[in-house]
Amino acid sequence: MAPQEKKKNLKQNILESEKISRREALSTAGKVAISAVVAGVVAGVGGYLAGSAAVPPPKTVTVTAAGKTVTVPGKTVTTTVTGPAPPAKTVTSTVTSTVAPAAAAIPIRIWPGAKGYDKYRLDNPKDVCAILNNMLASMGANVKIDFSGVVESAKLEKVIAAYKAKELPEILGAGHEWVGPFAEGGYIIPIDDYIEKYKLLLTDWFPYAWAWEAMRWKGKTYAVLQDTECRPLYWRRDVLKKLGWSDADLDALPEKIRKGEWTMEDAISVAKEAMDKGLVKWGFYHRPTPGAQPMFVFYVQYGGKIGDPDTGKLIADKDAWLKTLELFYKLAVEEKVMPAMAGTSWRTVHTDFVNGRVLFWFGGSWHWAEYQHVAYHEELGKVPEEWEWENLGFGLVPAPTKGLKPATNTHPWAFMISSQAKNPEVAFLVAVLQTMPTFDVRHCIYGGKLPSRATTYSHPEFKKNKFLSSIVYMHEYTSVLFNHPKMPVYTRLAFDTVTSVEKGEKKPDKAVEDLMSALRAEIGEEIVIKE
Amino acid sequence: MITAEGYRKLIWKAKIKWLIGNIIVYSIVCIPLVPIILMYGWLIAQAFSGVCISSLIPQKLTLKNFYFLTGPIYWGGTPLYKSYWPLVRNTLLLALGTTGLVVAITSLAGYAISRFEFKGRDPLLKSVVVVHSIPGVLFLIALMYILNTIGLYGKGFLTLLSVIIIKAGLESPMYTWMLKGFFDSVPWELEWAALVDGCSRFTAWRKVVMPLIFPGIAAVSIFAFLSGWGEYLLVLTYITDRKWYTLSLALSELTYQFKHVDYGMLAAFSLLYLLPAMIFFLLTQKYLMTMRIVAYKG
Amino acid sequence: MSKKFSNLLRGYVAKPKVSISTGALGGLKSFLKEKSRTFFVIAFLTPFLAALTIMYGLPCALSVLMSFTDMGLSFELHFLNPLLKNYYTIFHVADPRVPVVAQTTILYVGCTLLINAGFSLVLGVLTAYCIRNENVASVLRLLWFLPRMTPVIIYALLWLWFTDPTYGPLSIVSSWIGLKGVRWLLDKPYSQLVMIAVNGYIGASWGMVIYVSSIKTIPLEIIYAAKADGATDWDVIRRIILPLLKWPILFVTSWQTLSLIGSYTEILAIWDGYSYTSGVEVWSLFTYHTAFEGYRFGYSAALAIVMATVALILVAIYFKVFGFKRMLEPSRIEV
Repeated sequence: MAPQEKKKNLKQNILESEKISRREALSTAGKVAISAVVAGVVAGVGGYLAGSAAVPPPKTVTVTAAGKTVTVPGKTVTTTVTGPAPPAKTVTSTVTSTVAPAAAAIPIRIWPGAKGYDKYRLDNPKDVCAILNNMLASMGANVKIDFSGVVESAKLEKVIAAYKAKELPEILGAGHEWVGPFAEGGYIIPIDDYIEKYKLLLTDWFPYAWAWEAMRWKGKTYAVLQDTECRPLYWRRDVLKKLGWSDADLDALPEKIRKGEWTMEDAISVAKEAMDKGLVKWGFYHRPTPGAQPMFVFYVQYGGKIGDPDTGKLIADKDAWLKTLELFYKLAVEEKVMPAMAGTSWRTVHTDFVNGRVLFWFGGSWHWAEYQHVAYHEELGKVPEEWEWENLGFGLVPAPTKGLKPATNTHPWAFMISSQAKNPEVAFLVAVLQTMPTFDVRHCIYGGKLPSRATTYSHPEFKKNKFLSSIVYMHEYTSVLFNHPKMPVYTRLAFDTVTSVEKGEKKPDKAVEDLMSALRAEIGEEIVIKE
Repeated sequence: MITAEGYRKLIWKAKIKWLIGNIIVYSIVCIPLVPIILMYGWLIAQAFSGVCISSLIPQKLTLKNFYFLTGPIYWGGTPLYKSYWPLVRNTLLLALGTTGLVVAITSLAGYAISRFEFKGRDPLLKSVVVVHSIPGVLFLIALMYILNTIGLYGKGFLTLLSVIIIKAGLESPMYTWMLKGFFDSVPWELEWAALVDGCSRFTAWRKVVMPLIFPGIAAVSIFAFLSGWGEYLLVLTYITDRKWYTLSLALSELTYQFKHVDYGMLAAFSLLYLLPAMIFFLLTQKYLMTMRIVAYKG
Repeated sequence: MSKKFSNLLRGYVAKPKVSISTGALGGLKSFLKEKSRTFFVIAFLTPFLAALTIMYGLPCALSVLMSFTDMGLSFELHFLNPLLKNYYTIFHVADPRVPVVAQTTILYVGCTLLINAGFSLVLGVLTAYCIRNENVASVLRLLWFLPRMTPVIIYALLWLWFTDPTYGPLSIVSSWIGLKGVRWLLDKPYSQLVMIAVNGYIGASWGMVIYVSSIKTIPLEIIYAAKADGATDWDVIRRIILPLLKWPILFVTSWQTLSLIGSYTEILAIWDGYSYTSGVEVWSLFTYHTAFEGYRFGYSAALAIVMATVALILVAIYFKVFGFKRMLEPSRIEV
């Protein structure tokens, strides 16, 4: 009631002040000036009430700031240290056991990065905690897990802020490239001991070395793999058909690429043919912003290494970069089958590909789902999956020339255990258990991701998904960017250089020199340049 | 003697002159506007189109892009927010709160600086200009320290409130400087007269001076409102509670990594995001015009 | 914080320009007035000074401190061995990008300033004085204001559409006038033109509103009188409006210089990832990249301090040229 009275008083004040003023115009002006202030205050009070509707006594919120202990009838329990007033936090989903009034609570807070299709990154750990709680309750244990989570991923600024506030949640979800920066900053802890202790839980873990490599920083493991994807080369089946390809040819293409029989050289000549016949406007598109695909894919294909796991340093192989840049030069300048992509909007990239104005597109596995959900097609709008199977094809990024290997790139998602975790072991277990095949599979299918456990591949539900099942093989050919705080700088500089080559500003040999000196200047000792 | 013929000629001449003058004036003001009109034209066309368009002509006219007004906001295929309206409430809260605080702080300080001479006044005025040049990036971390020290980090509504205070604090030097100019333009005699009549200084400020600088306040309000309405970085960094997210955060989530960007919905969302700012601008601009008469006839 | 504050207050001199107290009780009355005025100034300035100290003073001090360190991701202050190492890197051009970035910044600030302070003056005068129909004028002003109201992400999206190499109106129109195949965001002189336009559209409306509201405070009688004496519109603008706009012009110019030096978000949003090769990497964006992409917070702070120092010098020059001393004085009896 108090705030309402306050409001009334304020209103009266305004009214009275109106009476005093003689000149109408003056009072109007004053009223407006004041009402701007009052509006702020009233809105504030209103908002506060709205907010506190869900939040128990406002007083606690203000004062509990330092409060670490909360008295619960009977016993004093150290609640969480979750920091101040756990109820005030957004608890998108709170799993609380119904009775147990005096149970000790182990907080599991999580910033998983569970937007949109990735919602199971939040729901899986939540359900794991629920199961564990049921177990604990049925045992009559006087302890429970207090799960809370948001959908955001762990972003650097937020992590720093929360760390300084000693409010870092237990589990931080982010792209693997953040393992390096977070470990460097001391925001996450190594989990090698837990892995050793619970290795039985990890026997069907992802079979490829790169997946573990992506979770490491300077020889220590810091994260649990949450999921992966891959970046295939897409093509237009309908356009290729117009060029005389039969269905059988088209169906065999991924396998031909896989064996290294069909290379980028073939792709370029096909693209040229299609462009000459006026079937497409461009032969190739790649992403218009810095990233792995296809810059670093080609680089790896040409024998380049991105980083050295032993020393933890980045690597720039000059020879591999030169060859990579020569390939881009050939695509954009010599053969003119690809435009300089920087500066093209994502919308243009997708609409052009979906509407058949581009033959090949260095995309990502999530685009398959994206075209079903975003209205890029000019006539159909959102395209059904059958349309995609009819008109689109996908495979590995072909070998640049005969003798080299096809490849792709993946971007593993990492669950890291924070250095401020109240109970890191429980946090680790939750992070591991939520990748058990039954949980893993629903995340993969809903989110269009590839699993983190080998057993998930043989899960009947997973097998039913035609698209995912048909890209699983790509993992054998994949590479990941290196875990290093300077990786974004490397990626940007590489993209810069590719752009300058595509624009025809620089010949590859000049561009590679510039790239090396830029890398030296911006990354310094953290990058090893191989001449 | 001017004949009727000559008179007509003169009138014609004047008319042509007027016409040419107007053409020049309008073309200076309007021609650079063409890109803007095209851009926002496209935004409107896209908001009502069922597919992704790259020209100004809407295709497959639909109102479906505005679905988020009545239901959850989807990103990709899943709901990102349960409803659009709490976002509006929070943004409005931030914008109005900032405006109110900024107006309060700056009208007090601007008046004191304009009307009084005191030691430290010159350095103060100069430092106000100088602090403006400090890049905002540096504030983020330092302010986070402060916020945490007073225990306001990650506290839901209280954090929003402190974002309002921070925002107002960051904006106020700029507007103080601006309002000082407006206070300077108010003749001192008016206040003097009020003081002689027995008004207190506060009353003189409140009743005499403040109404006279209404144009200034209106301008400050517009800018403060707009900057609060569009604030992104502070909200992103400090607010952890999804319940207190603002439109700008939602917008950035909807364009997240340019994955699953629904351009139709995004355009519709942006249009609605722009609308309150436009309305606020039009309303305050009207006051700007009417207050002029008061300023010099009173 | 408190020291600066109390110094300010101690130094306060309660002398209004016009003395009011007369008569027998003058002495006592003026004493009381004096006291109340001290209180008055303190009360009026407190919120502002608090904001200035907390929001600006502390971060400023912190960034000076940071600039002497190699602060990285762990956010610890380790002082560098030659304390000024970061500054050496900048001034001895140990970093090859510094001169390029400096050049871009000068071009950017100089040219955009012409729009933000110069063209906005034209806009202000035209929409406030020359266009008599108030409705038309306010619609035009609203249109000019649109970019400022638009959230950066959307604004960037609109520009990406506008400059799109294939569908963008800019590319289509430029191919008519013989600039076929120009990639407006990538090719150097053009990308810099776009950069200037992007920020010019945002800045123009800011100056315009300040000019318009200043022009609106000019008593119409003065203009009518001049008109009656046979002055043309041009004379009115030149002899009445412009001289009265001296203060706003100084304000907008110096302010926009500083704003421009510190602005980067629009460039970041539009040229994400290829700003350096497109020749649009300005100093503040460089600072941002150093901090949040390179995680060299110490070096970034040094860059920011250099930037702030340059801004400071510029402001000093402006104040000299425009006779700032006179502007600083408390307002007197004048129209």
